[in-house]
Amino acid sequence: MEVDLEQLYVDNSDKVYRFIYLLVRHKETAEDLTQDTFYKAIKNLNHFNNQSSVLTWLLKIARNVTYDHFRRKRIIQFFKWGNENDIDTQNLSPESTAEKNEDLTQLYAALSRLKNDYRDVLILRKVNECSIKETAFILGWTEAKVKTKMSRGFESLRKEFYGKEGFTDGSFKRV
Amino acid sequence: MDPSKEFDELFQEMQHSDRSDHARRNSWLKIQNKVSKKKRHIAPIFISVIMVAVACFLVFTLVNPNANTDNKLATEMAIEDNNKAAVTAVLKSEFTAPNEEFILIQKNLDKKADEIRESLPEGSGGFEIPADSPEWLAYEGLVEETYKPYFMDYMYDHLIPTNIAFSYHYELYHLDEEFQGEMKVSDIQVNKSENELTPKHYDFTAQVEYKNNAGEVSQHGIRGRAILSEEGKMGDFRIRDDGGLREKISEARGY
Repeated sequence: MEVDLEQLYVDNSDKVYRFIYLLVRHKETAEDLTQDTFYKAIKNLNHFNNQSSVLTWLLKIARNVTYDHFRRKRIIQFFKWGNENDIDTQNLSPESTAEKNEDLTQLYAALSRLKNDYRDVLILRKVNECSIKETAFILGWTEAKVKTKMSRGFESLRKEFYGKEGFTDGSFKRV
Repeated sequence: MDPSKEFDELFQEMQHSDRSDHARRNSWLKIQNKVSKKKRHIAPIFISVIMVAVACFLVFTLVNPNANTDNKLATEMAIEDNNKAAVTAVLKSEFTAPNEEFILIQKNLDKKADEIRESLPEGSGGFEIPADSPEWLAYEGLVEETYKPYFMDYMYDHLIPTNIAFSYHYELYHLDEEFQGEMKVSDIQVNKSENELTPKHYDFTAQVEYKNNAGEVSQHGIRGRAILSEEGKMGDFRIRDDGGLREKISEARGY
């Protein structure tokens, strides 16, 4: 199989980087792990058997590379999301920009406090826009498990986003 | 609004990457460099072989073979046996899996990390599993029990930070709980360097049988070198070639 490796990288590296970045929240580490992901992928390209799209396969590698990185460290350093360059706000009014920044920062923080399973499934489904089937492949789960975790993940996300006290009987209020 | 779409607008914002062109390009260059590294090693390996051969020739022509007494020889042989035993013990540990104690400890560490993460206050800058927590102490205890007798203190201190300890066990310990492969090691050969300029060097080889969860079995020749700085204590331990074992495990993981 003749593959243009550079094209493979150009087409997919931003999506892989973004996925890893949402897990590690540190640019340099995300960049290093993106390199590791592509290195492993290129080395094992002959094992890619088209049972998924290339991007799905890369995201599966990226997740394992990232968790291997976590697992081998006792100290996990987060970096705050406060960087305003992270947020594309060019088309928003100053008021809505500020509100959106605040919501986005809050969502990042809420995601970071979720269990790994919930966070991963939400990021893959909602940010990377993977289908249930693709998500199941990446996480090594059944499709039923993806749906269950997704539903519980949302519930946890809402609790974290609105604050535990602001979440009662399925109704939400901002705190 | 459908609750599952509640955050969609914000999730879409997360899709924007502020990764710079420079970082993107730089990463690609590093990947290319890493991929082509193997090829570039051919020349240095060839030069190294020539240098070792020349050094051996010089040593053999200069050394007086009558210098050793029988007693000295016996002592040296005993030291050599201890050195070989140390390398053998480490190879047996590294290439025998599953190690149930290791798996249990890792699961407990994962649980501990989850617990800490969930209890983090908003805006936390990170977290650490406390060095005095039972979960971490259990891991340190396992590394100490398994490896400390065989390593110099300075090397032992590097085993955890540099991922030398249980390196292949980490590869097997997968996110998906159902995944665990098996490794068996056999035919361990440890040979003292014949080069008298490097008397503390020991080259080793071993055969590792790896069985993945589907029951497929593969054989891998392991090759490496240890430096026995003191009797039975390694100051360095390197696997130079694992016969494709790590790649085989990656393959079993689905990539």
